[in-house]
Amino acid sequence: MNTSVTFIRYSLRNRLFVLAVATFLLCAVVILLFFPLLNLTLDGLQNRTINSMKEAAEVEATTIARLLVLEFSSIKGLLQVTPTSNTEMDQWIKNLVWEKVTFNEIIEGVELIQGQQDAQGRHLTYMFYRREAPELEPMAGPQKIMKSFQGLEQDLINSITSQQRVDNAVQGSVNRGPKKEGEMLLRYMPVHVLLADEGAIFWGVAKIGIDTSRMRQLLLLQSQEQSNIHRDIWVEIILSLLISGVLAMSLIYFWVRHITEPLRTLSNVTSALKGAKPEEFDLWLENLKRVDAQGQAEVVAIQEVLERLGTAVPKLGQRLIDGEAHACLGKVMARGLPAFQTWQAQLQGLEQELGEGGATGGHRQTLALMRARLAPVFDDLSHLWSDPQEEWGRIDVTPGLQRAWRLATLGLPTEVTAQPEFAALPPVWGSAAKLSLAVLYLLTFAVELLPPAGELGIKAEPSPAGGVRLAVWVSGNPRSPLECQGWLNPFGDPGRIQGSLGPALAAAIASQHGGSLTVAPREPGGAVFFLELPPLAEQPHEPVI
Amino acid sequence: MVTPRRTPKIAMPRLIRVVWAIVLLPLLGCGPSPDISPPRAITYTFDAPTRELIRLLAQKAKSPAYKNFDRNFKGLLVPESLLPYEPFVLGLSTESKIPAVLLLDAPWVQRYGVAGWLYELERTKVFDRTELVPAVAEAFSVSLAHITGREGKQLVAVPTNIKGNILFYRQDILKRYNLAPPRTWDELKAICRKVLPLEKSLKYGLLIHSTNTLNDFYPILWGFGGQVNDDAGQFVLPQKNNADAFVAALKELIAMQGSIMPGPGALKQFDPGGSLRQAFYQGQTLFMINWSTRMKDLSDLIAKGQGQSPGSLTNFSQVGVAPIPAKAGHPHRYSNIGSFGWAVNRFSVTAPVVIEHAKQFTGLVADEQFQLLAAETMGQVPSLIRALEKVTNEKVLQVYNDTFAQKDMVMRPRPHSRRINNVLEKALDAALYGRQTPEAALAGAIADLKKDQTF
Repeated sequence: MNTSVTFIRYSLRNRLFVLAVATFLLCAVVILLFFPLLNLTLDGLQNRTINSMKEAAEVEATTIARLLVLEFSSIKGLLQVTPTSNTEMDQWIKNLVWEKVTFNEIIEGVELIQGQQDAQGRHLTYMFYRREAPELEPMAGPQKIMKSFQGLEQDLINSITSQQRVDNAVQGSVNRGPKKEGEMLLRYMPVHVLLADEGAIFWGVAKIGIDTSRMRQLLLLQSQEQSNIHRDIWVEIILSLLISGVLAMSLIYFWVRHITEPLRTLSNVTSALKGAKPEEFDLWLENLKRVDAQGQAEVVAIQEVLERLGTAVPKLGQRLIDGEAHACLGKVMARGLPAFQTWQAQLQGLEQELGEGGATGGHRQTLALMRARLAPVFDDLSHLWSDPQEEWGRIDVTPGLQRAWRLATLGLPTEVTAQPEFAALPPVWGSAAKLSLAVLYLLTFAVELLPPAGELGIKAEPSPAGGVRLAVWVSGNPRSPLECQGWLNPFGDPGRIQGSLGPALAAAIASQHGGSLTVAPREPGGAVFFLELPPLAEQPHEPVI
Repeated sequence: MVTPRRTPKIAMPRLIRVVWAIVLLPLLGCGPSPDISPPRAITYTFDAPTRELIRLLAQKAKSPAYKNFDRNFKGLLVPESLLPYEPFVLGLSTESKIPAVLLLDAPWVQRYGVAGWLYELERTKVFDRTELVPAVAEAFSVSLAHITGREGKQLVAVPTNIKGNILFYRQDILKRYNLAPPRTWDELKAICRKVLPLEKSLKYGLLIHSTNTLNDFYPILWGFGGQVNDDAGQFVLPQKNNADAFVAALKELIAMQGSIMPGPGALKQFDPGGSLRQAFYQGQTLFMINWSTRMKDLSDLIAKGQGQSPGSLTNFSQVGVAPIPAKAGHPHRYSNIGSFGWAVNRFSVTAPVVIEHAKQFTGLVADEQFQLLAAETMGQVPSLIRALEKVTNEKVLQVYNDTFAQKDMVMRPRPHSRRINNVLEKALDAALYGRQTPEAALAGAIADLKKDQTF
């Protein structure tokens, strides 16, 4: 059987390993897919946190600004201040602004902007900024100035002074970003002075700067923490996958090895039968019985079936050998039957003549001839029919070869050319009956191949090694080496089992005797069998089976 | 095989352990998740009449919504001493979330609304303005085009009743002379000239308040085609048409002094609170300009019969009401609206749940049964059309049908600026008391007001 060589064996164990690795990789990929989702979740968390912090800072700024505005609302003197005044109230307001900015770390600066504007569009403004930024010169103190506004800030002032709601969008665009006063969150709120007789009188706008450095630090910290979390989670996922992979693969490896061991052993033992010699069959059977199924039902079932087959095969083989021998002898007898009938008629004629007047010279010669013909036949048959067991020893194979030749050529047509050639042969160790049967199997098979006017020959001679070399040839159609080899291996193709098992059995007997049987096409046509027997060893050996 | 049974001595401790485990599981975090829903309560400005009506409804209607009112809504009590300072101007101008719902006088609704501090109620489906009497709905609507970009007025507060100053008259006397209530000042003067000489018990033809005269004067001014502020809240009195109307209206009153109205010397006697309705009850005057809620007070006085003198009212059918007259040829008659309405603080609406709660609140305090109860017990004129259809109080229906339901009636809030009102009040006093001519009084007032550009 042709088997392709692959990188790894296509076994159940390897398939389980591959499946385990594939499953693990799939799980790892699925787990790794969560990493982007985790990133998204973390980003969302950070955004929500940042937004919450910003909202909290804005709420804080609004609260602080509102508290200041509430305090300003009780300063009735604001209604008396004018751009040109320089009264105690002006100084009092400036001092108040200085106190609020100086003693509250979170307030960066305050501007009190009167709603009224002069002809140049300037507003009376009390202002003081702490200015902790190193690039800015510190303010000497609170100032009372006339201040003009431009751009969005002017729009914002206008919107507040016209009693409209402060638009958050406009406010955000104005308040955010670095300012000349430093980076701060600004709040603009209308200032109403509360009077019992006139109610809430709008005075102007309070511009309050809130320190945002703490929030910026928190945002930076938040960003760094998120990077750290990303890195840590990535490392943890990789480490987890690595460790779990190693552990899982280790466990799976031993588990797969354990559960596939009985099947693997059974497979090895079974496959050993392919290359086993007949004499190794008992050893194979013994190995089969020793396979530990470890309670696996499938292995136990296969093992039991193989054991039953292994027990039955030798018996069937013996029956096959016996049957083939009988078949060969039967064929010999069938082919010799016409001669036997002729001889019987001749014997009956002789008996009548002898009964009537006694035998004459001619008749006596015929009788002698008949006896001479029948005696070797029966002798040959008696030798070949005898029990082949227990008859191993130092033998001369020549008589057995001659008997087989005589029986095989018995009754052959006269057109057939028989060419026996028996040289003096050295003794060999073995069973004379079995070797005779082996030669008879070969000759009977050769007679079946023989054409009507063909040639059949046998040549026995000493081999160069000191043993016996026997060649049986037959003429006929040209044969291919593959066809010749198929005679020796009748079960090679289970779909085409040939009729005669003679060559295979002869080869088995030759192998049993330590020899060999080969077959090759014959040059003009037909085939030639070579049976080699080893020389007699100094120490005789027992049969292998 | 016989299964050994657990003895009761062993089984009981195990059972107790299991029960303890089940009881303690919530403490270990296995219980239901904590309620993290936002608090339901929203803050509102507390006022005594509303509280009283809520209490009555909780008792009578046995409605769970009214019974749980205090649980769901937190009243914010404003000290009486703080009200003159207008504290909520400061709160809302600084974007305070508190209070979430405010009960505002109509002029303040205009101011807060124009400033963008109030939440639009109709567009946001908090309240449907078609349920309200159109005249009062209009008075509680402002233009928010400068904020929202949408044209037209938006309802920003839900009035719980209709209150305004109207003309009270002696219905029995006018019937006796087969006279209809006056539509113009000329008609009023003609009636007075006809009736007063014949009815010796009548000392005056018309009485108006001698303090806070401006409240009575505004509908007269509007009836002469004048305005102090325009719809956007801008001060427009100095404009010639408005100034002329102001002077003409003031001259109309001054012209009636002495013959129809009390002269400058007699005005002081009407300074005490309640003196005007007492004079009407005692039969001293044919006409009186007063708040519509005085109908309930007159009804109580008539019912009690306190301080009755010859010529006093004995039957409620003697009282008639009509809109304050206008200048001849003017298409509308006016009332200075004094209703209060519930408005939602825009800055408190930070989540949809706040809107929902504000909607529930306005649904309760402007509810049909709420207004019907107010109509029956306090004589308030409902602002809901469907409540008006179910009112049984005849006096309430009379006030509504004869004044606020009149086709030419327009309800308008007075200017919200107390500074304007104070200055104009002084000018009015100066003219009515004869200290200044109407022209001089107005010129002085305008000069005072121009000093401050920020009102």
